[in-house]
Amino acid sequence: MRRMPRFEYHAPASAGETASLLSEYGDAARLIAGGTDLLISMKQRLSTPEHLISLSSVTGLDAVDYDEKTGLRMGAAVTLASLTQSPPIKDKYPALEAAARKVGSVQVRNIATLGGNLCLDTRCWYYNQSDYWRQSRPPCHKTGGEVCHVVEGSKRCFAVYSGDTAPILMAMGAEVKLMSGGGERVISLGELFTGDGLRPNAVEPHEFLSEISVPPPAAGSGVAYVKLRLREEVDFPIMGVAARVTMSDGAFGSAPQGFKVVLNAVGSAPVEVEGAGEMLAGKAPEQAALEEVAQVARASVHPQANTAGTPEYRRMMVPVLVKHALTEAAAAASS
Amino acid sequence: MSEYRVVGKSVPRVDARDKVAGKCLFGADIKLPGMLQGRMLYSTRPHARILNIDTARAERLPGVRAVITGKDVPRRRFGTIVQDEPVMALDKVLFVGDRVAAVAADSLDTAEEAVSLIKVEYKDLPSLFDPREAMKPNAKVIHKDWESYGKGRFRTISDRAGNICGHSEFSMGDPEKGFSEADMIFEDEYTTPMVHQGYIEPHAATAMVEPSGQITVWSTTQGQFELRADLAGLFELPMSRIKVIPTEIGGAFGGKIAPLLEPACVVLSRMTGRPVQMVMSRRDEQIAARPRHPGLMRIKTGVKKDGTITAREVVIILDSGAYADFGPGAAYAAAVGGRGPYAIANARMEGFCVYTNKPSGGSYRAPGGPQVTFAIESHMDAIAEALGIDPLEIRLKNGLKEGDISYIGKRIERGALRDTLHRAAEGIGWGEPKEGPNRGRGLASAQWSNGGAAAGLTVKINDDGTASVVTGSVDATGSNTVIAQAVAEELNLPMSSIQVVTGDTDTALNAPLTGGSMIAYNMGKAAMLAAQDTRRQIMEVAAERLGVEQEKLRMENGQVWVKGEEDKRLSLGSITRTAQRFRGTLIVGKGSLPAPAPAFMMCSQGAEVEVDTQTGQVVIHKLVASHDVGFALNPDSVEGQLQGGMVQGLGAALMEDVRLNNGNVENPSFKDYKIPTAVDFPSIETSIVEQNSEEGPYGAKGVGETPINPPAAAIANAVYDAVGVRITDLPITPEKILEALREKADT
Ligand SMILES: Cc1cc2nc3c(=O)[nH]c(=O)nc-3n(C[C@H](O)[C@H](O)[C@H](O)COP(=O)(O)OP(=O)(O)OC[C@H]3O[C@@H](n4cnc5c(N)ncnc54)[C@H](O)[C@@H]3O)c2cc1C
Ligand code: SF4
Repeated sequence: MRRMPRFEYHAPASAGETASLLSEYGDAARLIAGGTDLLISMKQRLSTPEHLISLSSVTGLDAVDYDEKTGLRMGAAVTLASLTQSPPIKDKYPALEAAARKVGSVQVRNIATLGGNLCLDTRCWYYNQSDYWRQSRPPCHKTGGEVCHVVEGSKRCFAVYSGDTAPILMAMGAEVKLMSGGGERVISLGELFTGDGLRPNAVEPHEFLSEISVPPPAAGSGVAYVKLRLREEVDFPIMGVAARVTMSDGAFGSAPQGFKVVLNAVGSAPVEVEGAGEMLAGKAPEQAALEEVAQVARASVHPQANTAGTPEYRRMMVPVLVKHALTEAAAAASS
Repeated sequence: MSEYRVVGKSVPRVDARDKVAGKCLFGADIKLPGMLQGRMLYSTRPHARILNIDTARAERLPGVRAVITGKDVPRRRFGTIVQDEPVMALDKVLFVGDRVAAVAADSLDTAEEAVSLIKVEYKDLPSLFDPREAMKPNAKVIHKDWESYGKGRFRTISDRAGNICGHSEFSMGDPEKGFSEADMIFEDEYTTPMVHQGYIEPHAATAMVEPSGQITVWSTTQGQFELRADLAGLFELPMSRIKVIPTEIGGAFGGKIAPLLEPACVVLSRMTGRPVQMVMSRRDEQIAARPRHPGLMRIKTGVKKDGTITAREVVIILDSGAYADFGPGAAYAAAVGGRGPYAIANARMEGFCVYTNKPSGGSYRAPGGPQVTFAIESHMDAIAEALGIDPLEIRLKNGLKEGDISYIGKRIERGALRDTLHRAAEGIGWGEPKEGPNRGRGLASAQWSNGGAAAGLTVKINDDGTASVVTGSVDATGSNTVIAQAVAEELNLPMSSIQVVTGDTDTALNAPLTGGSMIAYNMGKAAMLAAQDTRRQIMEVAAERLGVEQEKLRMENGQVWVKGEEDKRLSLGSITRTAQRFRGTLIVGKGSLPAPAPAFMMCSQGAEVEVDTQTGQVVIHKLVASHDVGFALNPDSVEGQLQGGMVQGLGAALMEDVRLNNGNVENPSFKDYKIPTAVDFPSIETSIVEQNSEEGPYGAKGVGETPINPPAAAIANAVYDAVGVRITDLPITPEKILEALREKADT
């Protein structure tokens, strides 16, 4: 097998052209942004599109704008490196900058894009392997088969979503714009994720993610993303937690909407801890308040043995990281 | 201060500029006219009979020039100790990654595609993954013809039986009596996983077979002479029919010795009449190269209440994987040094190397050393703790001292272990108050010895008075710089006048392969002797031309002067030219030596860590390595070796683990096989102890291997000191620490 399957390459110059190429080729096409994930999966024959539609020449798709009233708008093709160097982000959204900095290594960030990070495929020990490697086992659900090698007898796939920018963007209430020949739709970032290991995001074959927008930071609010990994560079998260809190007079603010806790890399989508706002609103930002959310978070996830870190360990780390993230977010809000 | 001018100084590596600028040509950079690209097909089964290999579709693919299987290659097997490894699987595959077929094609893509078109029918056989099972008398024998296998070049090492491909046993004093005299007896078991050298450059080989049958091979090998011997043996050819040219090497650490690609390249080149190149991919490297053997160590020590060791027993079981390679040597080395750097009069040590259906281990930096050192040095701390003795004290008390005999039979002259222990302890602030909770300090010591082989090297004076040196040693460690330093020292020339090249098997004199901490030791000595020989020849001609006695002459900066008469002098260029023209004398110095006796090295390392008791993560705050290197020929280079070795040891301590899933490597990439990055550890302080060796050049000993031995135990001991849990199974992951903390809290 060739190192790379054959494909035809298209480099549209505008969003409109991109949309029409997508409607022309449909399922036979894949979008390529930085390619840091897609090219590997093509080499591994996890993906064999006949057409690659590159986003790198699409005008305006790498723009970053900030407006006091409407907030931050980022083109999907902005690289993570330029995101971390962008003045409004450094200034107004330091936690987003920090989260972007935690993706992979400097070489990866130089070419990886924000859109690609959000649309990252889910991962699994048995899936992200070469074709050769996979030959020693029957195909699993995610490679067209009927078994799961991780959870015996399972009818579904448990592959893990582990993009590092999604949780913090969700915590900040980001929305994404999906464009197609038929127009565009805007959905919350949370809605982008399906939770299905096989098809982790809601982008339709004829659509592409064009823009990510984040509301302006609310007064008294603070966000943070903590990521657990063995090495300080290169590694995907063993797990991660993003948190947003609102502070007022040294206590947590009284509106439950001011709070959000998002868990990463413990399931097929980033998951929001339900009821976090109610549990935290109006409380003193002390361990006791955090503990309740931490335990609810822990009970809400069921990691499997399919990425780095044993399931027991990842589960055990949920409350620890939730508390870290909340504490960091509280500190950010107060400063 | 040393009395030397060039040796003992930190001169920059002669190859530094080209390497940093990306100009160095490595194995895969070899490009020959008409060259084909080869690819290997590796087994997907851990243990299976090959029923059929259908290559028809691959052969029909346009651009494919040859496809070979076990039927097309020499039937002979190779191996440094046991000749058990076929060039390509004959009727059975023994691990996921065994070579099954190979293709040569016009392009790499075509070769890759052709490989995927080869259909292999397997009949799976039960696999053995646990060496303890495999060594049982009733276990199925993986190599059923084991008795018929020939011996490799390391002849002496050990005996074998069935799945046990290496067994070494040593005993001294009266262990039973020693144990009966003990106040307490401690027994522990330690395990270490398979870890990979992680060299950046993959294996690359290029072969060209002339119509006459003459073979030329370019290879990333660590030893061109060993490779030539292997090829001569396999193809049953005289050595003169094979030329092996070693290319620049981008890291090896013992991983580039076995002929993994070369025989297939030769066969493919013979069949096609064109040069054939094969370069392993990272995946190939992680599944089908020669990592470090997983180890299981059982250690038992008898001690007096005051910490004096009365007896020790060590059993080491190394998991050889599918082939023996250097495994029996590693088991031997682990066993023979199983007492550690301590004076223990009564001991029994046993090392086993056992076949399983896993990737074959090889010789990763100090083969056998890191496994057994992790066990010994963790065990020493466990004993110290139980007796209420300071870990530094128990080492000082039992450590080899003046007059003791080391395991290689050398009498210790001065207390090098003591020196290194004090320095490592001081470096990490041993005994001082700690900066915060959950911080701990750990020490670990180790010993090692290097090797020696008969070797030689030549120095030629060029017409302009500069010197060209041809060595047969591959420069993986900065050894060509050290060779240049020795020549510069003896000829009193500036470094810029000396060119050192690594020669091929036809042009260079014999040299040992780059391994065993022996190149600076052996070839540095050969360089010194060769330069001295050169100097004698120059002085002889100069004395004749200047009409004075040789004693009246002095050599400096490319000139020979008559002492006291500053105007009477000749340049080396002029001496060389006249010697040639009028005497027919070519000034070529030769230095050769019989295998030198090994040198004995001891060291201690220390670490200060902090354990996050919530996440189990270990943060390292301080690292110190203090080593007796005999004499630091190039202190910067020595420091680099100590730091590099320690970092590799720390990787194995904290994160590295070739994970096998039914025999299949689960993490065959540098994303998932975690080697430390530059941001993970603090810088390492080094402290060099110099107790000159008898035979090494200027008193140097070996330095390449020793530093990889102690790090895992130093970290394990520091973790224990920090949070009171002892991890006995590497790597020391956050999971294991938390689990141990939980167990501790429960009891
Ligand atoms: C060594 C290494 C380490 C890594 N570590 C991390 C890590 O720590 N954290 C992490 O989050 N990721 C990590 N990654 C994964 C990956 O590099 C990043 O997630 C990166 O941001 C992906 O972006 P990209 O532009 O390269 O995506 P691509 O590879 O180009 O695309 C990824 C997927 O998204 C789709 N896509 C891309 N853009 C769009 C769009 N605008 N609209 C719709 N679909 C789109 C593609 O079709 C493809 O399916 C790592 C990768 C490597 C190789
Ligand atoms: S979780 Fe199961 S189905 Fe999903 S990729 Fe892994 S093995 Fe396949």
